Amino acid sequence: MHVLKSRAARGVVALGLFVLVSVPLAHASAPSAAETKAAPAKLDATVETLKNGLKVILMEDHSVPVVSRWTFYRVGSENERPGITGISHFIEHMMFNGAAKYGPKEFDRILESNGGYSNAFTSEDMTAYYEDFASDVLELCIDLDSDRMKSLALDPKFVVSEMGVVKEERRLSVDNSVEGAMYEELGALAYKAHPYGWPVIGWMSDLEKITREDAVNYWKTYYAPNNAILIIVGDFETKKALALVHKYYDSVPSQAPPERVRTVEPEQPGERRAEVHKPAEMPQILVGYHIPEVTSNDIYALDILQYVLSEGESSRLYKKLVRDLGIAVYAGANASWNIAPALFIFDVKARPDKTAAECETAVYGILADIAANGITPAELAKAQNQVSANFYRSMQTVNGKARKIGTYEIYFGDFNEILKVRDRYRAVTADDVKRVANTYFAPKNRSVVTLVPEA
Amino acid sequence: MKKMLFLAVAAMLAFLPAIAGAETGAVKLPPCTEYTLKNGLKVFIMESREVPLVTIQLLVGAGSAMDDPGAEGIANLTGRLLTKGAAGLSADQIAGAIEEIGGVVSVNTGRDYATVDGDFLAKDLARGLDIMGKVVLSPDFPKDDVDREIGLVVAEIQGAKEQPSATASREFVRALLGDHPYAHPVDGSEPSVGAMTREKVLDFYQKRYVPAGAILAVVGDVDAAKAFDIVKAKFDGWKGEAAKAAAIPALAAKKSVGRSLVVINKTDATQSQIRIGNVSVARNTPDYFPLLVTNSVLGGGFTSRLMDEIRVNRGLSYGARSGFNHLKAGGFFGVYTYTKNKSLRETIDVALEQVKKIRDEKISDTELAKTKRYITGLFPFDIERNGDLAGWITDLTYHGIPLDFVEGYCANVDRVTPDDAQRVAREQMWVDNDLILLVTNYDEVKAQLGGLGEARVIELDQVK
Repeated sequence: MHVLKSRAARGVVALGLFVLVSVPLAHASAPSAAETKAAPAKLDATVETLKNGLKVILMEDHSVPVVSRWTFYRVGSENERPGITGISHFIEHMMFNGAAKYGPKEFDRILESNGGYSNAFTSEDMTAYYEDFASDVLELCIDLDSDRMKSLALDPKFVVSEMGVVKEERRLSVDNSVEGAMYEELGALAYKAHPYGWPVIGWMSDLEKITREDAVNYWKTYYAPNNAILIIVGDFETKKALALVHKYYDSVPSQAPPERVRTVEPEQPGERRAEVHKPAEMPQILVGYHIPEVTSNDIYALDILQYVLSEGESSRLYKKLVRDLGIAVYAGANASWNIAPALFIFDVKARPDKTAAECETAVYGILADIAANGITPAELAKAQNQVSANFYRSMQTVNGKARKIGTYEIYFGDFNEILKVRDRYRAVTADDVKRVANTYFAPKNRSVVTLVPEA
Repeated sequence: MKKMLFLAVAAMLAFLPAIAGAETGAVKLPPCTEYTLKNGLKVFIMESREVPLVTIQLLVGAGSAMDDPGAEGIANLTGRLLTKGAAGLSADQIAGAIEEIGGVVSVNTGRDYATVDGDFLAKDLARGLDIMGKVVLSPDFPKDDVDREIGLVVAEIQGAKEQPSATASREFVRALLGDHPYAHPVDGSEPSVGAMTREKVLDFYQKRYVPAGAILAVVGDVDAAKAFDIVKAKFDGWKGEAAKAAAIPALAAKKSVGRSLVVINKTDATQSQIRIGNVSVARNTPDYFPLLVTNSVLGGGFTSRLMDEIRVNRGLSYGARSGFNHLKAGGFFGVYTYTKNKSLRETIDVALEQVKKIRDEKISDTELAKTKRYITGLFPFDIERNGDLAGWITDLTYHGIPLDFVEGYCANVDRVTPDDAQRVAREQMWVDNDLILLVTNYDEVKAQLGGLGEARVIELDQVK
């Protein structure tokens, strides 16, 4: 499940792009000259790891006089524990509230007065920060980011006020949102052991109790250069940029490598069901099936299946539930990309005069059909073309390119996987899709959350 | 979870003007060729060869301001039905033809106009234009599809009520603009859409989907001359004159009407949505840039005054912004934020104090310079994608503004002075003469609302 929390409402625009990143790549029907131009065999980037362990990836792109600079940290809600849930996302907010050289409010004031925009997001697996800016302020952005990596202040007054901001974010996106409440319930239902079961934004009772000391300890553990990746894409000269990176980041001390998550979610022994009672206009269901981690080879067949099921109005879910049966307003599916095994989620909103049960039955009917008969060659070719086109759409901006490089580093440990993944999508066959449908869409592997609308 | 987040802010984003800018003079548009077909269709082809994609955008003067009286939402419904059967192809066949080549086509209806938006691999330009030509020139409006789509739109209008932010923004505009054609939501109301028929849709289509006044932009990895030949072949046969009385009546400025307070009562709300604003000027205002810059000082970016006072200093909200929405025949200005019910009044007061301050006190040179640099520094990001460029081309042309607006944007931002800013703030940002609209649990907050005038309370289930 890609539960992402960002620093401010405007960050949501960026989250939309992230969706593309999470279901990337594939295969164009006939490679053309143009395609070769946009997708060479190797991405033309410079990679260097500093002595303190910071991995640096620089890629020039001179199409527009702008730069996108990113820092990805290998930390997310999976690294939390009961009592401090939401602290990864809270630290993300605090990273904008002052460090040793640039005090409270200075980060945004300096960046914006130099024509830059910044935002950040937190997921279960990662926390990422970026600035988009005109080419001539690269040094300033490097200075600002290295300052907070080295010496975050966590000023007590701002710890208090920023937690107020985060609680409002929770009230907006979960407590006063039918959809948010449903997803939170699904996570809590589907995971009995693994940390993906608690929400990225954290339980409200933990947000009430997290202390400055908790935040200091957490930041020290995870915000080290050896736990981070720096990416710069855009209009700059690599040699000069690399010199600036050394100048500002070399002095950030490394830390002992943090422990990785040990817990593995046990196999689910039977179907799980939960209800959410809330004032609402229409019934709704979420159905989640456990699927493997992102590095599993089955992920590509599952992604293709996701496209066949829910991408566009020729998809199976739309045609059956929205058009033919006329029982749903919306029917979607999403195969998660996560470091640990996560969920393939179906999300259906019923028409107000129809029932959740009708929608659930229809979804299972489609899955049974694919498990028995597979998908057609035309469906496979269509999905591969859609994945391919979406890949180019996500690479239209310097921000999109840097974001993709960072997420591939987090998931695969190597951004060059961006191109290898293309071959893996091309290799998916209709039989593979049928096989994964049989493997993962068993009734005992699913968790179902039903919205019960109250007046 | 991304969709949920999308829903939560979609309404706020809808009001924000484009934020933009780079170093003055640094912005340069890719080469663009302009043509006009005999039927009046204006065509722009822009060669932008960064990725092997092409965006096709067709703008038609068929926005919700053109909805027939009593048929609010007919423009939106008509737009949605274009792809649901055309030139003898069924909805399934059209979706299949688009999607089997990785393409996307959507129809997006706004208040002034509708756009038909296509995005394809560049090698599929001819197929993309063929499909788009069919859906625009020869929609069939099959009766079953019309009925289904009516049911879907009604259900979506009902569903939107679950979202406090979307409800606040819809009802804010409706309450603010009264009986003007811009007032009603683009998708209409449950009763108005429920009463629509195939005949009404067909009638609207014939009146409004005409080449006169329409604008087509093709942006991407294409050769201009070859692309134009294909456009001509597909769109030359489009016939029709714009219907009479197509002009949208001017939106009268509301001056000296005092304050009104509207509360949408959502009894389970633990957080209150806040909208404050008034009517404003049209897109062709000579004050476009002073308003852009002044608004950015008040409510754009993370260092705006509203963000600083409401979020950063007090931790009252996750977001606080303001924005002008400039349309063809008028516009509106709004402040947008939300907070827990307990701090509703404090947040309203802080917001009003900031609006008052920007009217009463001249913005310092330093703050103005900071804001101008913010806008101009980000402008290049607004022309990065094919879709961004196509959007600029069609929107500017619709409003009669030359495309060099884009290249002159940053210089015009830089020209705004503190005096300009104060003048437009006093003319367009009101404090005592405004509408405050809340979506909240009325019983829980009503004791806080003293002095804001008598509240007109609307139960959520009465919102249609």
